[in-house]
Amino acid sequence: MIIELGHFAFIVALGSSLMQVVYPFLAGKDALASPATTSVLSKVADVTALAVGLSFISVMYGFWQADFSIRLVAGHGHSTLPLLYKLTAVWGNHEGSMLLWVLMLSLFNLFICRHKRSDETFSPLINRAAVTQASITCGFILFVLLTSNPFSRLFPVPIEGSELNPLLQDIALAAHPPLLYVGYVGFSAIFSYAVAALWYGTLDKKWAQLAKPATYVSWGALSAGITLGSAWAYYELGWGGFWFWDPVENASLIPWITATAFLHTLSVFEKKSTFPYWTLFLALSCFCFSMVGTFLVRSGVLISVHSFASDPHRGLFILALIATYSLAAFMLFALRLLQAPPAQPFHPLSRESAIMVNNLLTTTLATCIFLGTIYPLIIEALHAQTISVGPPFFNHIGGIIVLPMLIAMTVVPLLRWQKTDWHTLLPALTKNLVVLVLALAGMAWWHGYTLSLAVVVLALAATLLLITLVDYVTLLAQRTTLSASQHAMSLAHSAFAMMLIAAISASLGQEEKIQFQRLGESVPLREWQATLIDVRETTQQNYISQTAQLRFTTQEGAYAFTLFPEKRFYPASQTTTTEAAIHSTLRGDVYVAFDTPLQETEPLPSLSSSSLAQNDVWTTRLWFKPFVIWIWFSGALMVFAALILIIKRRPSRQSRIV
Amino acid sequence: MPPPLFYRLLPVYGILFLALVFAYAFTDEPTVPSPMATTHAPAPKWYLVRLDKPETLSPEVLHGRVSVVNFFASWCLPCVAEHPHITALAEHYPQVLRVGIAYKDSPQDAQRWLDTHSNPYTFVALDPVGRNALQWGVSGVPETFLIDTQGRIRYHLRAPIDPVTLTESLVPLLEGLLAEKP
Repeated sequence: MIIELGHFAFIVALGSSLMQVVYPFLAGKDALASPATTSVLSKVADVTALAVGLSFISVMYGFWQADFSIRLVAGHGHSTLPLLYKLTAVWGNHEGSMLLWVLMLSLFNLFICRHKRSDETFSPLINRAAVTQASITCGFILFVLLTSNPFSRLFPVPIEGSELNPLLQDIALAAHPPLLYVGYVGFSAIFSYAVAALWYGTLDKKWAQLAKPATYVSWGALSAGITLGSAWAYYELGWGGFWFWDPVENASLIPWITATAFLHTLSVFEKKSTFPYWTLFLALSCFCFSMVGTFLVRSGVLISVHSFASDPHRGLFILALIATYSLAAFMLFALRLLQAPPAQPFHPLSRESAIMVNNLLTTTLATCIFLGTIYPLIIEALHAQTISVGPPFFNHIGGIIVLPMLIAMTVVPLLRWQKTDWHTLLPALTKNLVVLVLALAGMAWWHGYTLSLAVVVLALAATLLLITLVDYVTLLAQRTTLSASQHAMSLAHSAFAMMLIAAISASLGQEEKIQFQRLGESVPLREWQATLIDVRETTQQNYISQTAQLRFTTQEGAYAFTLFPEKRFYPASQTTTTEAAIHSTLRGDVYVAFDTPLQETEPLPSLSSSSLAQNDVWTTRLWFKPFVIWIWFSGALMVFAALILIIKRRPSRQSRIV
Repeated sequence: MPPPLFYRLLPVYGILFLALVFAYAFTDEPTVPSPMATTHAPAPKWYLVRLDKPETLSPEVLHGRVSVVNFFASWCLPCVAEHPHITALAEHYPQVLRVGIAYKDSPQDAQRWLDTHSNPYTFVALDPVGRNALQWGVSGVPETFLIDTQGRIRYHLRAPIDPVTLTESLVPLLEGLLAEKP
């Protein structure tokens, strides 16, 4: 009964968002510009958000009650799941995650209708943005209702459900999709604002003020989501990697990079009215990339050539949806000429041009990653062979583009707005150059006197980190009043440099030991000896666990620490997962995973792995990975920088450094 | 001065191109040709454990007979959809050898799956980690190969068998191969 109410509420939401699209056109001649329309639209938006919220809760209730007469719950729920994962199972599948997507759309719709609505001068923009946002909401509600209905019943009712994928039964991954979706869908608000600006025909400081909060919220949420996802892959998959350039990962990275570029253009546009078209172009691209990302992930078109063969309608529907929205927006972009305030002219040697250069580089990076991700599809469509684009391509392209980007980021604080004199620039530039040479020497020495692309990127990142931090600490020590954006910039830039250093070092400097290990046998790893003490089997709420005990001692025999890697077997879905054990220090992680031995020649079916286990031989994989903890720390720092911008936004005229 | 309209429409061209590529990838999947089938390559050397008894299965079993090699798995949904068509093939062409290879599957699961859906295969072999599938150029399940009497691959279907492929490609090809006497 509850689920039918949810279904009904969802149809009501379709009606109310349709009403939000058509109301301004029916309400009279100047309705689009009037504040009265805004207040009506915000009431309609309340209804939509409430209705979608109710239908979301109804599905969540179904999972909580383990009501297997609901098809979705039967497919992804289980009665022995812990309560938390019963609830998060809602978005651990296609239908539920699309419902979450619609929920986010309706919440951002609410935000658009309410933000700055007390100021009448914003009404023309707000009304247009609200109409755009509601039309997006309509499309996705239709998609959910017609092709991925989470409310449908199942008959006959199964006795037990088939469980949430055990890999997803994890705190980080329970929080990952909602954060990612706040990011993705937050870009829809920016998209709507951009369409509103094109529709209205003007772009000025007011527009930047409207778009800023949504930008910061979605950028921060996406940063948090990507970091969590990467941390999850690191400790859950048991392969010791944190970034695989997997299409699913790229799908979230591409909008993030585009949004980073947009963030910078937006703040320059607000201050100097430069690059109006470029700002709008990026605003539209962010959401287009997040829609394509969702499409790639949800349709499974890149993951397996067979997975979507069973239901091509779903894929075609969402493809048509995305194509319609992005084509309409970019047609508008091409055809409308904006009335923008005159941009202040600037010299090639100025802060504007440095930011512009970095913007172009960032956009190029996003495009390259995008092309690398979809290249296999294009090649297949052109009837050539199936190919795959792997990490070497992305690492190389990334390195080459990040190189000039880091140089520009180091130089930007030295440049002035509009024009910088060579003479004032030279001393500071020399100081930077000295730091760079020292960093280069240091990094080359550290990596055994080699000079590769990775080492150069490391040195540049180290230079950026040093200079940014020294400048920031100096300013703080002088008790200079810094604006929120200056705090955020220093923190985010340091975080970016730190993340590059940590990620590259973790890949370059890792030590790996994979072997068969008997109980009591010791294996050396850097300064430690790892001894396999025992392997124990226990039964938990919904899985059977095998836990190994590995004791680490120093070479002299003194006790250092003990790690407990685990293997879990989930009987409901017949899956095994690896829970790696990690000993984290600031210097690096000791990462341990274990497995039953896999033999080169496959054993006969009768010879199961348990008989090998009786010989007490296990495959153990030990890694030492330098600086991994700093990757998560940098991610958190970026989110913190975004939080500063969201919570404490001072008018930019207070900024003291010009 | 904004650039001319032609240039301002650049993103639109890009989106149109991508939409076409994606739409094509959706609707035209099964026609991607396999390099193996077009060159009449000999079937890879394979030695696999049989499902029903602890015995290995080698290419010799195919010798001199037209055969269908079908990669399937108990965890694969499209395999259930194509199962009746393989059963139909087995009924109409009992003289054709049907080898089912359980891809990345446990022996228990594969056996249970065959028990529930009936076993249309002459032989069933196990490929637990998919190493053999790699040699055949299989990228997922289900995939189907037609082998001629000389042991060469003559047809490779990278999709589940559906009524259309069955009547329009599989059956005519099979008839042709059966007519080719060694």
